[in-house]
Amino acid sequence: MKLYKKYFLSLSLLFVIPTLVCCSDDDKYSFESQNAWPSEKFSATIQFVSRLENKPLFSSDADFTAVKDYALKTLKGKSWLTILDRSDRSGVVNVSKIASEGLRMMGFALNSVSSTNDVQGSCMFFNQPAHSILGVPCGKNCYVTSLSPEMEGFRSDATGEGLTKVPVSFNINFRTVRFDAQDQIDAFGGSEGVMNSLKRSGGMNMLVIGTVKNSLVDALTAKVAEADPSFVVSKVAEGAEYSIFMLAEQHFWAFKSVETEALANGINSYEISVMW
Amino acid sequence: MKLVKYILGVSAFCLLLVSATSVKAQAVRLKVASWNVLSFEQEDKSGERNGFPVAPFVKFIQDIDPDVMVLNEFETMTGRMGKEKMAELAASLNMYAYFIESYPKEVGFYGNVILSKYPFVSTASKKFTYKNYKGKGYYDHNSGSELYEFGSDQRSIGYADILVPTQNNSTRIIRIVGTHFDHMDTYAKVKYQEPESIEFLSLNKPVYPTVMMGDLNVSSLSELEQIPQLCDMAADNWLDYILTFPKNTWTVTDSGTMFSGNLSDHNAVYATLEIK
Repeated sequence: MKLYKKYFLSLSLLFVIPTLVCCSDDDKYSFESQNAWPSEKFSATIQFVSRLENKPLFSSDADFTAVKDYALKTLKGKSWLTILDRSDRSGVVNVSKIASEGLRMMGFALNSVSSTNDVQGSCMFFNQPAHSILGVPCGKNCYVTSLSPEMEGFRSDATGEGLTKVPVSFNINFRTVRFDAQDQIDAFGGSEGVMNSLKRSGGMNMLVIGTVKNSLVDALTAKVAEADPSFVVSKVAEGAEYSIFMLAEQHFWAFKSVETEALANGINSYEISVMW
Repeated sequence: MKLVKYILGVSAFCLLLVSATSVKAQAVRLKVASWNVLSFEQEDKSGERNGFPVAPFVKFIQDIDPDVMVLNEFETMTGRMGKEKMAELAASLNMYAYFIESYPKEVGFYGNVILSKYPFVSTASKKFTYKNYKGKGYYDHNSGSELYEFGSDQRSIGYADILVPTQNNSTRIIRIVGTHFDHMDTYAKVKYQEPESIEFLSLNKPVYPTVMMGDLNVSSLSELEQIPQLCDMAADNWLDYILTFPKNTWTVTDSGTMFSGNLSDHNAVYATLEIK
């Protein structure tokens, strides 16, 4: 081949090859093309303590003792985020006593305030100070609370002796909320709702674990799908009046399993295992 | 014409009446206090010798009976403290509590605390710009040019947006700020801590009526350059201040100092504030 033709061919290939290899519809890594899905290789456990009823968590000294004993016995290796659902204003003394003895930092997620004498919310325990816990109104008498706790999870590595659990920790975008009424779910969903607003400000990798009235589970699922079909609602556990739900973008988080333990008098602990 | 004037007059009167009623309905009355607790050591070190008991501090705070309080020089979860001291105080006082981390100790943390009778909607904190002459991972006992520019220790600022009851049994958000400025005669306060406070809290145009409290380590507010232009001073004692934002928003109906005796080298400063 004449020299100039060889030269021209080489030059053409120099431009064409990168186009073939690099440039596709997916050069911005759209979600449609992502291959990675949550894997059982990566997992963490969140503790959720609740009656799953429309009642405060603590109704007696026995309730307090049962929750305290559970919190203290599960400190090592399990608890980096513990949510005491409906600890409410009336439970501030009890949760503070548990945090003090258990060497846990406390934070509060406001659920609803129907009057100054009726403040409902959850207390959260962490192992590090929470630098930001932000409540956003969502419909009437409802707040979605956002925070970035340091998650303590595990990566399972295959070794010669089988699977070895290697500790992994990083800060995650976590949200919690309690939904009591349709208007709250309506405010959460929709293209301009709270969910999409939080997603835009905090990132697609947010993880939401909260409670919803049993009669509103389907409504929540539908509203979330309407807001963003890549986000999935998983029903973690169902109680007498409320269910625990998990909400996340399907490429980032998945619900793995839950272990339930009866603590006392209608109070259960739910150890929610998630994978990423 | 007389009838028209009469109707206009009556309408204007009714409008005034409605405006006055709605302004009164939103009125808030809040007793606030600020105190540097010297890490519960007590001036004669008896606190340090006896396991850092909080009981005398609880009694002192109960005698003031604030709705909201900021505490400085707060150490928790360290080996010598043995407990999460903020939670211990919160349990004794039946108050919500938020920890503003300045820096981690080898075990545990050091910083400031906001206590509140009223629920938190949001809380957040920020560490001021700081460099230690020894490099990363060192947070106190600075030296040399780094001491002069950044101050002796890592310091911080934080806020709690609290839901406070109004006169008509509704609620309103007030922002409570706690901070502790550098204690040495350094450039750090004016170069970093003051402007970073203003930026973090938007003190030039606060999102909510704001009360900023803490040990600013200045004998006179005029040692600061920008904050005095933006606030009114509600109360002060020695190095401790209660400042309100924006200007001309709050009324001080009572203020004073509570002598702390051996409990601390700082007295507590308090004020009762009203806002329409």
